[in-house]
Amino acid sequence: MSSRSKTPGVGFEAGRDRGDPGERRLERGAELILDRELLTGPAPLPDFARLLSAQARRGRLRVGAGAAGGLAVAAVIALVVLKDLTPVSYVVAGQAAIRGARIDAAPTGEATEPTHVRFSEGTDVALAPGAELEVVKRTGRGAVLALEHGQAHFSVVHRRGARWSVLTGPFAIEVTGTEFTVDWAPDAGKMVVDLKVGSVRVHGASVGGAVELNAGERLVATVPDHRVTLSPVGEGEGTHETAGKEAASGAGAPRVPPAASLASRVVVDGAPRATGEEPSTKGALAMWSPRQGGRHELPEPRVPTLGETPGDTVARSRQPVPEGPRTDPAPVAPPPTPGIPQSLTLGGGGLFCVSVPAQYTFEQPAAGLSVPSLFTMAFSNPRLDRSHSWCGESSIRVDAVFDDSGRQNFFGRFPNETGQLIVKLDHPTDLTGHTVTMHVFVEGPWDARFSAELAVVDQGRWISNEASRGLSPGRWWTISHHFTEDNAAGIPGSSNPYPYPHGGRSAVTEVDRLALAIRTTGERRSWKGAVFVDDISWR
Amino acid sequence: MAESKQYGGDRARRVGVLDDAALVAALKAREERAYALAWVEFGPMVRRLVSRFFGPGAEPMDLSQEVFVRFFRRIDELRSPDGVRGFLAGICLGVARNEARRLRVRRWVTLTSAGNLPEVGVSGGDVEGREAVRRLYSVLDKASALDRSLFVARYLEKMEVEEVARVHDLSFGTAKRRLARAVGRLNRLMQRDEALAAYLDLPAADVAAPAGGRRQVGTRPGSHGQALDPEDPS
Repeated sequence: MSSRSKTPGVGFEAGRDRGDPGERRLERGAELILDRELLTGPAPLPDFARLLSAQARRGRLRVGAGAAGGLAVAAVIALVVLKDLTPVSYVVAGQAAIRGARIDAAPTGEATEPTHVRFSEGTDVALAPGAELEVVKRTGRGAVLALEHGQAHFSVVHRRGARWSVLTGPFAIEVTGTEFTVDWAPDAGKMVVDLKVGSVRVHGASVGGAVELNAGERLVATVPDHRVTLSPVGEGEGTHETAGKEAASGAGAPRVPPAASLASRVVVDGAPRATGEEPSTKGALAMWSPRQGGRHELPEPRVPTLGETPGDTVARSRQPVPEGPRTDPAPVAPPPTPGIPQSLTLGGGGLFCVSVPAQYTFEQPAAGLSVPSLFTMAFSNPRLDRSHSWCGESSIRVDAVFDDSGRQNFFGRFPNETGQLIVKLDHPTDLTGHTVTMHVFVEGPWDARFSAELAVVDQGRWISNEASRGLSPGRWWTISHHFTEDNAAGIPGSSNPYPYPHGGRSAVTEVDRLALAIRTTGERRSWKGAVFVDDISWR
Repeated sequence: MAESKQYGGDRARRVGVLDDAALVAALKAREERAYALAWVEFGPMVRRLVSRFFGPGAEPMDLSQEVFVRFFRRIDELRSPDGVRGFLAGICLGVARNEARRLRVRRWVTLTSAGNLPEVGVSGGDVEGREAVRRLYSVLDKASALDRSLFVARYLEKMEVEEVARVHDLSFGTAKRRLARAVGRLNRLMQRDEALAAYLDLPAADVAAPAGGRRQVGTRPGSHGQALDPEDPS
């Protein structure tokens, strides 16, 4: 080894002592290199002054390029932000009287085609003749529009962060990107929303907490009787008078084919009773209006006082329909109850109790009620309860405890995420061609949200509707589903898709059980409350 | 360049006039004559380090200039003039590692003509020794830049572990661990070249000093060593 090679120092003595072949090999390699190394000769002196200044120049250039790049990025960001900050603009095409931000479409007879309000980001509002629209507010993300009266067809372009809302009287419709028609008749206090594409959320008045509409659904809300009906487009009550007008629906607008859920309907009734975000109500008449500072007074009282109308007496003493299985005998002579019946003070069926008699009224203790002890365990202790009723004096109450504890069940749900109330029928029943209806009242925290699902069991096969989502506690909900000869079963999200975990079809000719499933769906996952079920019928 | 001539010719006088502390002080004062003095004083060390890092045949001039330019720019980071050589060695190995990584990338994207190491510039008839060095650098070429740098510092520059840690900006413990790992990895790479591994495992007695005072390596016919065939592509 050459004289300049010294022994490598600490850390390797131990390895060398043991004769570490790996390290010895490296030392040999180093010696090989050093022994054959050529000596470095003198080298010309570089011009360091020039090299240093050149590098400084390069550094400045790099800084300049970086700054320019940063400026370019900032400019792009600023453009994007400014674009967001610049309010959308609009032009009006067609015959209309424009006063400030109010657009009055020409009445029928004067107009030959709908009046279009076209916004700069692509959203289009087609006003039917006679409709009046006000552009209340414009932002970079959308606008707040108020439909004063008449019908309008909205085609809102879906954009990230888009915020559009449509106000109609005491109602507000939140839109992100969708196509829908709104018909608002202020005199009748009736709003009809037909949703073609996407989804919207409707707030306000009797709707209370937000109700979410999906494609192909129609929401009919009437202020005077606090009734909100959610049904498939083109079915049932609430078909708005101007729905057939092609003028506002947009020429060539695609019709949405009926979805699997189109046979279902949710009816919301009663003034909002939830506390929290919504302003407190004054009796049953104060209603929340997003547009009028949060309150809206009804023109006339909704709830008749006891004894003033014959309907009330009839409602309490009506006879159940003679057909169909019964679990409770027809009340022969209901005992007189002092005060106002629960069905009225809590927003029950009212005249519905007369016109829609039920097979199950739950006025007496009923047999055949149960809650599952496996898989869906949020409900317990079903019993007759007289604190709430849709019609009459009582209903079935179950205690509800929702949370995400425990292990997920076979269907991917936590046991206490969903509760089921099962009603065993006296004998198998053919429900083909029938619409089964249940009334549900959920008592719980104001921010709880849940879905409700109606199911029938035909020889062990569960057939249910698509769950109605986004429901809120504090009011009666009417869940109904129409069954045909061949029904979709095992719908995704069903509380019990057995025996069709991947979907299937089934008849409902020998139904022996009915079921109601409530599943907690909102941000609040843990809550306790009670669920009341009343008046189950099919017709 | 007038100053270069002024300070480049008389090494004895220069060393006598400026010790490391004075040289560092002059460099911190950005005196141009100090640049020339540093080049003369530390240039051989830097060129040797670069040559050892990249192997014989590599052209150390460009990298040496780059090392010195960085050294001059970062001279204010030097806390004690006593550590100037270690400080410069650290910069030199850092520049060399960067260059090794850059070369590897260029080789991946085939920007070099062949990607082969240049011929080893060893004179004489020491064909096997030259081939062993070529293969050794071929192995180093496959190693990571840090492993290669650790090998150069520890085995070629014979630095203590503390010095190795300092020039690589590592703690003592980390340097020790990384050195141990580098030894293992380099050995695994060497074992892939059986001829090189066998050659390096030869007993010292079988390795003769090369002509001109350096050792000559020979392989005797029938010995347990394996002949290094320059035509063998492995």
